[in-house]
Amino acid sequence: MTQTAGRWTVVAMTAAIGIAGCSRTSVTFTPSQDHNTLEQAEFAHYIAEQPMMTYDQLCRAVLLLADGDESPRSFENRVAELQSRGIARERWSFGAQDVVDRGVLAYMIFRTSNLPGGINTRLSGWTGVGCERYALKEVARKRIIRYGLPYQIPTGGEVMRALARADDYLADHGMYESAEKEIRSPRDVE
Amino acid sequence: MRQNDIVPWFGSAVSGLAIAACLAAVSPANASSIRAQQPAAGEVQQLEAVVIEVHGSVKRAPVGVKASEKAGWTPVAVNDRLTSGTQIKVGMVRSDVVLRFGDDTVVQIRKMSLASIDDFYRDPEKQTVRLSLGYGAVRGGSVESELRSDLVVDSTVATLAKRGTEGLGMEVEPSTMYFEARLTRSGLLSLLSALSRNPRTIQPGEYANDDNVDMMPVEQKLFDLEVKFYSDESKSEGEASFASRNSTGNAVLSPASGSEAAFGSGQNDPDFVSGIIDRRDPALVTPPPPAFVIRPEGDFGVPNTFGALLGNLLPNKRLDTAGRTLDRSHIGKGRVPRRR
Repeated sequence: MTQTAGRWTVVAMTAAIGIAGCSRTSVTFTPSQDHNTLEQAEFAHYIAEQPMMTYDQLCRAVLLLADGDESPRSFENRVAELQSRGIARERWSFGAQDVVDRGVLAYMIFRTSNLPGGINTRLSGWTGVGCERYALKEVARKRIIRYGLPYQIPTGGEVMRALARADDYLADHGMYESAEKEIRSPRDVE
Repeated sequence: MRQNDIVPWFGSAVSGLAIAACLAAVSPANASSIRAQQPAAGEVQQLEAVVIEVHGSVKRAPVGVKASEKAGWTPVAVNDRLTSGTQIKVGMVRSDVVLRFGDDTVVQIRKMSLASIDDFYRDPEKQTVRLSLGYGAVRGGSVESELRSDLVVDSTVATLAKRGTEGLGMEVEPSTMYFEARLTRSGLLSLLSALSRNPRTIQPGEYANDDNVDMMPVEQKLFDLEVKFYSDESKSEGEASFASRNSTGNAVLSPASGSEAAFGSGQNDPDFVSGIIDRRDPALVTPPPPAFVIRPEGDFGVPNTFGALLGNLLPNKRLDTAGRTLDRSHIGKGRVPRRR
């Protein structure tokens, strides 16, 4: 009896540690300025100066990446739109001012860019276990973002540069019609 | 000449990228016209860059206006002429601008960039273009003409290119200041890190970034292979240290603990590993494994877990940790699994 109780105690402690270890610590950040008052270019360069990025800001930036343009939306509207496209996960319960980590950023880029994933990425996406981690590996492998740990918080500059590289990826893979061409010499513009 | 720092938060540690293209060959067809445009001895002629392509959101403002502010910025259009002291910000997606500096140099400022034209002038000896790249990416090139041409882009590192460089590129990440410089077509670049002051030559088809700029020049293919085969996330500390000291040339940065220690220990001897094996006690030497062996931890990224999962799908079958089939009927409470 005592031995059984001891086993159950160990199981319960292991589960508790596991759940606590896998849980996400919520960090909130109050930006000095409401990004909704900024136009596209000002918004991007404002974010680049921030030490971190909120979920609301990331949703706006990702929609901008996906569509190439934007229309005024509320936070709830942006989240619903991204969830309907499968870019944001429904199990995420972030608030507008929750800080995003590299895993969330990578997952949204991964889904927006339609990156091909390996078997582990597909399995993790199917089960929902560790999908941010494998998305980060895929996105880092494409050199869109530098490798780091999924729970690390990137700076605003890192996020915006990663999104710009993702836009390059979309253009290179014909996901939108791009007029940009590679300029390597004056002969390329004649 | 004016040198504007468009990003004051760089700090003293982050001082500059310089890409310089020096052009010396003579093109007889346009030599006379270029000579006619040359200023007299001792005279410096200020020039203007011409905007030849614009896509998306591109704005300009005098140096000093913050990039995150709306006031002071005006949209850039094709055929606009930009003088020294103009800064340019490019939107995050679907945006870029191409500038022409004289007849022989073009620069494309790419998406999510903040850059400024610090100087663009011509004197009797050369044409000089000085750009500041706060963050983002630029690329471009120069062709050979009669007048020598210098193109300098200030940012985290310094790069020097000589004799008609085509396909040069530079990227600096905001806030982290990670950088990468590359040369895709022809010419030669020399990259100078502002932090370490270590120069690095970049040849066509190569790139250098903050990972490899401080290392001894190695074949780019070797560097890529090293990175490819041993990705950061899969390296242990010992493997990273070994790879760094033996395959990247990083040891020269710390002679007392790097290459000298490695040479002293004989690690660079081709017989180093086999020598250790030979010196081991024969009784402890394990025979070489067969070509295919099932290991408990799995082989080549296919862990035995998959095999166990597959085995569990079969009726009354299960695989143990060594991949051997167990009789599932014997698995039960208080009973020891019996191997077939």
